[in-house]
Amino acid sequence: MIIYYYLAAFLFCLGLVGALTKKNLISILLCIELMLSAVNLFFVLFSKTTGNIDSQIQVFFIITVAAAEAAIGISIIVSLFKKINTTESDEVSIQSE
Amino acid sequence: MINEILILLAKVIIIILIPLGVLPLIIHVERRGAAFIQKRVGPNRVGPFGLLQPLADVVKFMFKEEVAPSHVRPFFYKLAPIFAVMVALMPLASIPLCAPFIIGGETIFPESFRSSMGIFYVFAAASLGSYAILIAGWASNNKFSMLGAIRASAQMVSYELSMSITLVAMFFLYGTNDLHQMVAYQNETILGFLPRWGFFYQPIATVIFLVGIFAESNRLPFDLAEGESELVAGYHVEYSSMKFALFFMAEYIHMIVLSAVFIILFFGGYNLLPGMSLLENMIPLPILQTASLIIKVGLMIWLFVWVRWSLPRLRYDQLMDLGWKRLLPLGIINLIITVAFIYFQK
Amino acid sequence: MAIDILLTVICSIFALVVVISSNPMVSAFSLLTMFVAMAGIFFQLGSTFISAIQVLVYAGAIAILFIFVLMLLNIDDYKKHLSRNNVKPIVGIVSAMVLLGVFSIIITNNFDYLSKDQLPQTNMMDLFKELFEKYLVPFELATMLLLASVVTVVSMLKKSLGNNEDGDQA
Repeated sequence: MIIYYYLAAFLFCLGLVGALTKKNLISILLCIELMLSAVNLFFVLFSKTTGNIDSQIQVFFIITVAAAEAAIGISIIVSLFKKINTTESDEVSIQSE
Repeated sequence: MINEILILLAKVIIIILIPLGVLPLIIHVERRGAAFIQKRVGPNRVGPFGLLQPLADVVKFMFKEEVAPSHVRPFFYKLAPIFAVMVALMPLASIPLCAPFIIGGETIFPESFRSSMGIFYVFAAASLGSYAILIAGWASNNKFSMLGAIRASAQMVSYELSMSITLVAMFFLYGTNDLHQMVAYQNETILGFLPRWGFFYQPIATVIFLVGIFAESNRLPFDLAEGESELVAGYHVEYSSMKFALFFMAEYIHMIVLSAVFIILFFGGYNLLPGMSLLENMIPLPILQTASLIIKVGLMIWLFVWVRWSLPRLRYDQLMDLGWKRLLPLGIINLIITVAFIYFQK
Repeated sequence: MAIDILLTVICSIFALVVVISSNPMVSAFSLLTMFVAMAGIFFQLGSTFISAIQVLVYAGAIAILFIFVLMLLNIDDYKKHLSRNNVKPIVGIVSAMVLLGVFSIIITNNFDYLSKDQLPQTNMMDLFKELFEKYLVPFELATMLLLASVVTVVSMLKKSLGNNEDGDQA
């Protein structure tokens, strides 16, 4: 089971790298989802290690928040695309100046 | 150990062979049924009553030339049909064909994958089905395919929601998520003669779920994903020969799986049909139960064919209206009434 | 044990593809595969309800939303979606330090003291009982969050699309 701890840490850092280096807004959101699911894995592992059910309920809430976050993020991107016809984060910041 | 592996292998083979074996028959019934409804003759040349026609079709599919257009994305183009059949077969692992029976002092469960997830597994696996269509539509790199895939995915997600809401109401009714216990609940009778099926407790949920099945399996009146008059053939425009046949197979397996879930939730699952208990002395019970489940699913398939040639295709905004503005509120009201009823009954 | 390693390898490979691939569509599909593999890990750990929810919500709703929008916007010139090269070294160093820190915590604390047979099998009913008794208020707040997000999305898209019907189904 210890291998899953390493996997969760690896996934989280991978998501971090992706979220900070990607240029496309949708790709950034995808990497944030990756980080969130790495945290989910950590919580389930903690629950299994301590025998405590509470952290599994945290996973439930994280999934709820992830769903809401994805919906709102996507809708912001769609309305941005309607306005300035791009999903590049750099161009968005240039045009807002 | 070796015994367990053999039993598991037998279960897997049986559960895969039943739908694959029934498939040619279903296609034949569909074509003959269409002909019957439209006052035509239908395929009747190959074999007695044209029964060997599907076999001839398979041979034709096998030997046709495979045309792959140059503008497709090759990896995903090849992946999509395989993925479609694989995902369609996945929920079958948890569908019970008969009650757990005892052989040589060992209790054997008929499903090959038994977990505490119960019906959640079936739904989770079935919800992956829309990805095959999405991959196919995107990989074809063609605007008709893409439009078909977008339509199909939006439609499947929308109707999955109302189906899940009726499912919650059924949880409250049965008090469990285990498929065997659900069927056992429906084994008794109410008012002396009616079987205690979910249908008699939850008629609204039955209707919502039935509409959801039609939408999920992309059948008429909801087959906007492949609306011939607008989109040529939707997501499988670019597919030919055996690759097309795999999509065809996946659609029918999806139909069978969803019908089986519908039967288990609302029409008594593998409980014996009336009159079948007379045969109990001659034929072992598991075989009778499997037969009654298959007969019920067969009736559902006939319903699919019947509806297909009776109702016109919906327009896309009508489809979304029906899903979001009619079925979803109706499902929520039904859920609230069910919960209130069960609360006050206790 | 073999299945644990297999799932870990599958998860890592597809997560790597998510980050490396320059095509957002490929990223989205590999993220989907990773979600399903992670559901397998949750099942392997004995929390079956979480694994069902993982597939139903993440794979059945979130990933499909991403792919849907990617197809709708039809961003084809993904060749220019290269990553930011100037921040890469700093980000790489920072995340490597985070990774090493977490690894050292894992190694020093020896989390693996429960073996596979001692794992508490999580009963779905226990989970629900805890959720609806101890965590009732957070649960209601979560439903409020979902409702608020639905209202936000619909109003935002109504405004940006003018008088048209809402096209997003989030």
